[in-house]
Amino acid sequence: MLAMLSDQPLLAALTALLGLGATFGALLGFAAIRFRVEGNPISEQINALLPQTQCGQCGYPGCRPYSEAIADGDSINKCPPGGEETIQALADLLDVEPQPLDAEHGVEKEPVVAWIREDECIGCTKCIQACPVDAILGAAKVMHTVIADECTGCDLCIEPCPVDCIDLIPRKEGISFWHWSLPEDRASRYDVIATDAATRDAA
Amino acid sequence: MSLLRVTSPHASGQGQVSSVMRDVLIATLPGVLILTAYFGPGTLLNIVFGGLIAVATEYAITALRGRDPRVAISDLSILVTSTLLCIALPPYAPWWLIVIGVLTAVLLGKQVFGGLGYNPFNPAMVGYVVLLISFPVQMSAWASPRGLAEVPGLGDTLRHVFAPGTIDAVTAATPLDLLRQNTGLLFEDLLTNSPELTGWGGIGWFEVNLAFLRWRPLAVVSPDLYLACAHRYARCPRCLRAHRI
Amino acid sequence: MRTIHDIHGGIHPPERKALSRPGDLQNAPIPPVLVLPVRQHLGVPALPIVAVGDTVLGGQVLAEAQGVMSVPVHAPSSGTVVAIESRPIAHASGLADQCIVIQTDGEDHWLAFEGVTSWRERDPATLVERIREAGIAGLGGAGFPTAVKLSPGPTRPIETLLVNGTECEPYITADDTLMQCRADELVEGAHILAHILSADSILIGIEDNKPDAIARVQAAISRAGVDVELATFPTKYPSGGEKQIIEILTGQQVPSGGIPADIGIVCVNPGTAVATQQAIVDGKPLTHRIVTLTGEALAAPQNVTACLGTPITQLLEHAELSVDGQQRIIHGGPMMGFAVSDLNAPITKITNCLLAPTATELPLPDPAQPCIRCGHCAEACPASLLPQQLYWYARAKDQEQLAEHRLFDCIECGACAYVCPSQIPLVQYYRAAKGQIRDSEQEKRRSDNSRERFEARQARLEAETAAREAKRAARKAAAQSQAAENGSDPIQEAIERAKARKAEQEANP
Repeated sequence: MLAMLSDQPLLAALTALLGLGATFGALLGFAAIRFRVEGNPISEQINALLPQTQCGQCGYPGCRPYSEAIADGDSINKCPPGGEETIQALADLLDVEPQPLDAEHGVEKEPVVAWIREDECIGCTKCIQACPVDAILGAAKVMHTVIADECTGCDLCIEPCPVDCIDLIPRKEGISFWHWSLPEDRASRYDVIATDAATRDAA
Repeated sequence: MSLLRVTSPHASGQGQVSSVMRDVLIATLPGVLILTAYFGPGTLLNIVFGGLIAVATEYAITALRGRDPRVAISDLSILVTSTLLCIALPPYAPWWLIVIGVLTAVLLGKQVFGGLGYNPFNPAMVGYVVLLISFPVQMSAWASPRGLAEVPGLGDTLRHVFAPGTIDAVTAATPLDLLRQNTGLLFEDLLTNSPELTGWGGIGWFEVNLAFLRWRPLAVVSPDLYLACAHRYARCPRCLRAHRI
Repeated sequence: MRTIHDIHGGIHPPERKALSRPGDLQNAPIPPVLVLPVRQHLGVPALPIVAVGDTVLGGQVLAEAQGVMSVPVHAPSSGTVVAIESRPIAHASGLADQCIVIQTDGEDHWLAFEGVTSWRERDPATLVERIREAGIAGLGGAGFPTAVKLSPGPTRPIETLLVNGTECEPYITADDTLMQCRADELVEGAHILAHILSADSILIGIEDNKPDAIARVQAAISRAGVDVELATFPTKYPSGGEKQIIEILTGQQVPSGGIPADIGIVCVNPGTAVATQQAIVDGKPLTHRIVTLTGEALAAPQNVTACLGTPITQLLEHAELSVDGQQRIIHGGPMMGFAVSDLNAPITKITNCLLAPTATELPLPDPAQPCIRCGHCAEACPASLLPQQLYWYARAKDQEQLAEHRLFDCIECGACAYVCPSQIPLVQYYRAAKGQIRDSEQEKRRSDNSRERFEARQARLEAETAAREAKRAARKAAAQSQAAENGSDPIQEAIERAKARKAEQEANP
């Protein structure tokens, strides 16, 4: 056998290559199983970027189903609560071109929370069943209320309410949510506030 | 009375872009003076001629781009670009070399990217690199320094720049070339004996060495000066020890 | 003699401190209406406990602290509560916030206070409680609740109490005046604070441009015959930053993201020390503060002791503001203060200065020009940051890189913007970027929380369905096994039962 190989250089080379290939292939195969990393599946990573409103505006029942759909190839622009920022983050993660938000699924809005007008609530518990994050508290025939810190503003409770006593109010209002915004590129660097006569008369 | 809303800080220093640029221009003065002392008025002519071209180009381009050209000129950045480029060009370079260099620097180095502050590279260096690649002969045609050859006067300079060919080449061996061509002498002997490195030139090395120690940034301005510094550096035994050469 | 260290960067803007005649302290008149915001400090707003129509006395509690990160609000004079509503307050946003409005009666009746002179024998915890009840929040400008600062916890033993009398901002002389006029109270207040913290040493740091304050405080220390170290150091902006003065006086750096207590130091403003002394020894809550009224647009610039809640317009009138046309009124100093957008806004615990400059004195900024990468900002930055890089990343909203370049170590002192030849409003970029980062961190927390709740709900619903299924299966199995035992088919039996009932009904209509 060795003698034959030494006579046939072409055969020798082929055998050597095949042998090496088989050996390293086996090694790699073994390593792949033995040292397998339980990595974050891509849908988990996508889910971590979604805003978790659980609103279903994307057409899927919750953020996790949508993240699985994206992992299977659905488009990344179906999440109005996440808006441009989420689309950008998803595009970065998946290394695809960011697309504008698909208007079919809604438009980007200010974050809101649900607010139950408590004296109008009849205690039907329909909204409690609709809430995807268990953020509504109450029992049959008694008033319900929204835990504002847990509410995602998904608006799924609005529709089932038989007496329309649920409002969506802006979540970020008032001085504690304010922060400076980036300067605008413009000629004038200051605002003139018209407080003229009133101030002076009062003073 | 109406109130104004402005972001802090409300006080601001005296600094302006133009004052930063002015400082850079002042910092080039000693280097320009030494270049002139060595090579005659060629560098000065480069700077003046290049500056005029640069200002005109900048004015035209900013006007075309719908900006206020007077504002663009008054920040002096264009003069810094042209001055840096023209210092780096060989004295007595033909006029078209300067024009091409300055146009490249202003147009391709600066304005195509959006003007002041948006250029990814130093515009003067863009101009220099383009010239060096395109016109290697003209770019390496350095005149001999005073002491090796007669430095031309203003009239000769003008003729040489604007009507090249009327004067034959005035190039000579650079000190580095001297080292390359040398076969027998020790480096030390070469430094003390060869005419290029003694006499006027020798004093020059000493001056430049001072500049290197005190005004290092300006010595870097011109490759030639930098070379001179390196020479002096090589002669100093303490430096040699420090660098284990 | 203490070694004085130098900090990186810093600038020397014109000081203009003599303008407001430091050391000469007047009383501002009690205004007809006091507007007291419930949030004059950093943290949770206080909760009003008075109602419209109530008569209140000076020193009476108007709003209670809600939780630890909160301090109460007291009435600075006697009168009637006329409104509890949203009013414009002095804030960079120009937004309104809840305020308690008092119509003063001009008689200035006060509650009787009971102080503690023997504070050395008191337990620190009760003293901290008194400080909280007195409504003391850091008077230097940030308004951090002092009681919280005085409870660094057992893991952070405090060695040094540092009284920060730097007052490095141009124009402001409120602390200078306070140190000159209330030096004895300051020294005693510092002692009370050191007693509470069990700090071994007391250090008072004053910039060397305040010779009168240095002399008065030195005299007060000698009078008290106590061991307090007075350190002076060269004038430079912003030496008065908490981290900066600590580095200047001790050579130690507060770790990035940490607080001075991490290295055994608590740093307070002299005003806070004096307010503490008054709260403990006299039992008096924080209802007044010293405000510098300055700027060339004022005919009578001065330092005044004013009731908290005094509308800005009253104080400016007191200092004889005379302007026509456009005017900036700056709350705080020219480097870090913000422009007020409504002159009816009141002064609060954090108001150390009202600055009314003329247009020639502090010219309005020119439009920003592009950054030319001159690097002056990096030379000026007292926190050794790279302001230019931060600027580019803030523009690009690159939060990762901003964190990498330690945006949150920026103290917003404005030195970078001051030296910027292109007049770029750098500080605003950093403030906006910080706000965006805090926002997205908050959103991240919310979304993580929502995900957990959603998944918990899904799990619960599935478990409920599974339990129902299991029950049904169990019932079915039970029925089948019963049928097997009886040898009859339960379905057949049910049909027969139904038939029998029907037949019965037909028989007895």
